[in-house]
Amino acid sequence: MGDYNDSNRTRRVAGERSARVEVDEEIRFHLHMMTAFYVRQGMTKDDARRAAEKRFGNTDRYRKNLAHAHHRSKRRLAVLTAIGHLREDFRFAFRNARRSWGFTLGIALTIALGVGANATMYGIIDRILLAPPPHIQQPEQVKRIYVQRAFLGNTVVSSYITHPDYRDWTVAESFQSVAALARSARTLGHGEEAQRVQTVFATASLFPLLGVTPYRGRLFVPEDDVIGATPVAVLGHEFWRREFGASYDAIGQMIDLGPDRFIIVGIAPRGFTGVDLERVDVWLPLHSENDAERWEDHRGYYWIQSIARLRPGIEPGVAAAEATALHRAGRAESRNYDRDASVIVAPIMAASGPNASDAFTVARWLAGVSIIVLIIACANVANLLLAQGVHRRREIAIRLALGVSRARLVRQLLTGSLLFAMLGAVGAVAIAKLGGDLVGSVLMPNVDWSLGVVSGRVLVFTLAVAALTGLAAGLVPATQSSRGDLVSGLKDGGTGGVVRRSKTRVAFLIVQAALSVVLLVGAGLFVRSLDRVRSIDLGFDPERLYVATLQAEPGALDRTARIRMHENALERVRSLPFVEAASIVRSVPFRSSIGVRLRAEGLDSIPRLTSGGPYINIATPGYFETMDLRILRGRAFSTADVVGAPRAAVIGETMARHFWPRDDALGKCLYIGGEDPPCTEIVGIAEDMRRQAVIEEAQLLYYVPAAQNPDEWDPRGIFVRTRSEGATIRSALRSDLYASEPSLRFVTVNLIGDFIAPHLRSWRLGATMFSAFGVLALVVAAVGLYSVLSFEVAQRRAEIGVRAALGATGTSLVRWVVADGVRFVAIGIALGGAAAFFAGRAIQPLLYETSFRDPLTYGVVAATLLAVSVLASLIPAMRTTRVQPSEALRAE
Amino acid sequence: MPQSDDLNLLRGTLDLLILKAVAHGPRHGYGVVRWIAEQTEDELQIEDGALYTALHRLERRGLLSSKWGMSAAQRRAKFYTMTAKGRRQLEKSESTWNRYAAAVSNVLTAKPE
Repeated sequence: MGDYNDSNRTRRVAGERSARVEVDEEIRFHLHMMTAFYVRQGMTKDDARRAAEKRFGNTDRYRKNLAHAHHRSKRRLAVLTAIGHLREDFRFAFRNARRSWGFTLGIALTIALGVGANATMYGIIDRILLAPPPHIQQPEQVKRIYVQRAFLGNTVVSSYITHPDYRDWTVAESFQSVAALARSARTLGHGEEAQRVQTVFATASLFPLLGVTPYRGRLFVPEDDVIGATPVAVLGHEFWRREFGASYDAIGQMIDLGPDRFIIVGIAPRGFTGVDLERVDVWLPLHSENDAERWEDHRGYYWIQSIARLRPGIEPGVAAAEATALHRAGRAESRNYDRDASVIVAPIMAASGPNASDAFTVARWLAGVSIIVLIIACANVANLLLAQGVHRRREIAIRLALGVSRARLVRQLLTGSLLFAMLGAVGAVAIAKLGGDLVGSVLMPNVDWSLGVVSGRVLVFTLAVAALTGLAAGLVPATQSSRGDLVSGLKDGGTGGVVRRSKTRVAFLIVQAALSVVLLVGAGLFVRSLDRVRSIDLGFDPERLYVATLQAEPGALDRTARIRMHENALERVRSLPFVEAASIVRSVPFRSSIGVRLRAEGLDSIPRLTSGGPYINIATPGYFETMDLRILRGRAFSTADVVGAPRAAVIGETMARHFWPRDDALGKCLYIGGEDPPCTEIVGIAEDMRRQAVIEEAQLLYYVPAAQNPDEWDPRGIFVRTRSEGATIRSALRSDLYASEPSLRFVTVNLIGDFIAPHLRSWRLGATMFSAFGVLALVVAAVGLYSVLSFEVAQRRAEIGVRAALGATGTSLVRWVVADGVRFVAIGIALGGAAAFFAGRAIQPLLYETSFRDPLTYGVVAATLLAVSVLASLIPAMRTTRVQPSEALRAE
Repeated sequence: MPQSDDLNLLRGTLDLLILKAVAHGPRHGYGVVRWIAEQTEDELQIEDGALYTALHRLERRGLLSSKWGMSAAQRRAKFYTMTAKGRRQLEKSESTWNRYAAAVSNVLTAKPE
């Protein structure tokens, strides 16, 4: 009887109709025969028919039931058969994979790398861009509020508002609830053990708005959020684990932050960071902030941000319009620039709103790059599978001859590549975990990654991409292999006497080479940018330059005492053996700057630059020496510049040039500050320096000595240049400073480089990631080239044998093979170079003083690729010389 | 309508009869109906439709397999054949039936004490 399915192959069309047709036909036959029987018994045709039908029973009912049952059983059978096929296919694929496990490993690894890179970037992008912060109910209804204002002719969008502004919105109909919050940092503990903690001040409405429930204890209630209420705190989960050892006794304890002590009332759930991504150590009620009485009703303190939950059914546009009206009405009496302000209601993810930072842009680029890597991996895997397909020609030919349908064969081969893909997926998840943690901590170190980069969504993504990769990579090889020529496949032992250079394989190879070029060019451009940025002259010398800030107990010291404390500290620090120079400053470059009223001799108005200013810094003598800021003309401050002596100032050369373009600035007067100030003579011109960013426009900077400005003098930091660098230096400085003043609450010591590094982050990351991916792509492409060429060599042994027999020398054979490989790669380089050229335009804004057309980069990349291709071709090429002509010919 | 116990007994018996019908070679549905009618001298009083239901059920259980072919009169008909599983079931049912019949027979022919 054979295989039910095979004999009924034409009937395999499922469907109630075919089952019904069958049943109808069977019944029809029966009734016909039964009628004929009765006719033979002597009945008339009609009577016979009636009798037959009577015997049968309710024909319609039987017909329907039989058809239904028949259909169901056919379907079940089809499913069982399909499952059986699938199991068989998998077993076949598994056996095949195990037989050549090195090959399997290679493919799985390639897929793991390609998919892993993508999973990593997807995990990061998902966290910062797509998935809302955890523990928020219905996050699509929660919005960030921005205010768009006109300022000096420009439109500025900012999320910072005043407390009265926030209050205006609490009556909005469109908002179900509104909340406000502000990030801050407080000092926990005392002395050398003290540390900075990240705090967020929040209105009591924040937690209910977000819909978050406490992990333990309680969250804020409205009674906590009034001036004068007992100060309470909610701990962030990670902070609680770290500082309180995850003990539930923490609730009810006091925590000492800054001038106040707070009672801990609750612990936030794991990974909860409010609406931002940065970690939060402690949540405090908004009105527990020290200056609450000052900012409560003041329209000048822009220090909080606001979020709102839309009422269900309200469109963001409608809400924005209402909020704008309320905002303007509330500010009707205030200053000009706010009067025409408008409110923007934006999605909760800061990365997709206005003012998204650079890091997000870089992350998006990296996602694009990882897709390129995946394509390369795909092409490589496809090539490897094609090669394997040729190896298995005989086996495939036999199967086809035995009657396996082509479709079935393709399915089997695809199952095989799917199996590889699943193995690769496991590796990819591991890579995503490691890579995600790495990239996350490098690209956005402030973000709370405690929930890990690999979430459920990332796992689903990984599996899906791996499956797609497996299918995509396996499709062409599967269809090609199954198209095998039966006769030749069976005849020639699997290696093929007829040489047919696979155009497909060559095409894949060229694609790999081209994409590698694109990545490497990107890498090169970023590396050059990074190099250029790193070598920007900051004006001052950042090497071995530390910034120390001293923080006393709030309220413990008045200004005079603070000045004296800093001067004592300066004395001590200067006497340390490893210190070259030190100076106290009013504003720390890269941290803050100040500007005051200024008039200049001979000028009606002060020239302005787009960078603002002019910016003043007050410092002790030794500033220029400590910072290594050259005095171009004139002199720096000295200890002679005290009250009573002629007032002196040093200005930057840009300021000198802009204020007095045709005159010498030395000797000119500056009139600094409020009511009719005296003349401050310019005694020196210093070289320019960066004020707060590595890349910024020209700045107007000037300096005055602390001794001559006692009223404005407010020390903020001590600059120290040491003879050498290192952790020991840092802790020695710190200890010494602590020892200098017993009432010190907290001391920070940082290399100035720590403040500069964030500015370089995007280039550094771009350079690192592009290079990493580029090298990866190169390796993959090289391996691909090597495998294709080895294959060709093995295939064409006969041809090689003939050539050798005809007198070709070893070197000419080697040259022949290498030339082949190089030719493919050269085409790829040309294509890739063109692609990089076109795509490079889009990347230009991310580069620094490097044109996307930079010829050196392209040249180096091309040379590298050619060198690698020669190397990759060499090994298979060497093999040709070992082919004995007679042996090769005999194999046929 | 027969009582439900009788129906079960009938079903079981019917299955046995059908298996026997095809034990010696494939038959189409009508052939099975005719054979049973002849063998039981049409005593069974069962609707033909019910026989077909039984045939399909046996096929679903894997005791029969079917194949479309040509009848003696060159018409398309569905032929049923016994599978190996069906053969085993038949043997088992036959032996059970025989034991049952023997037991009953013993009871019925028992001499009074």
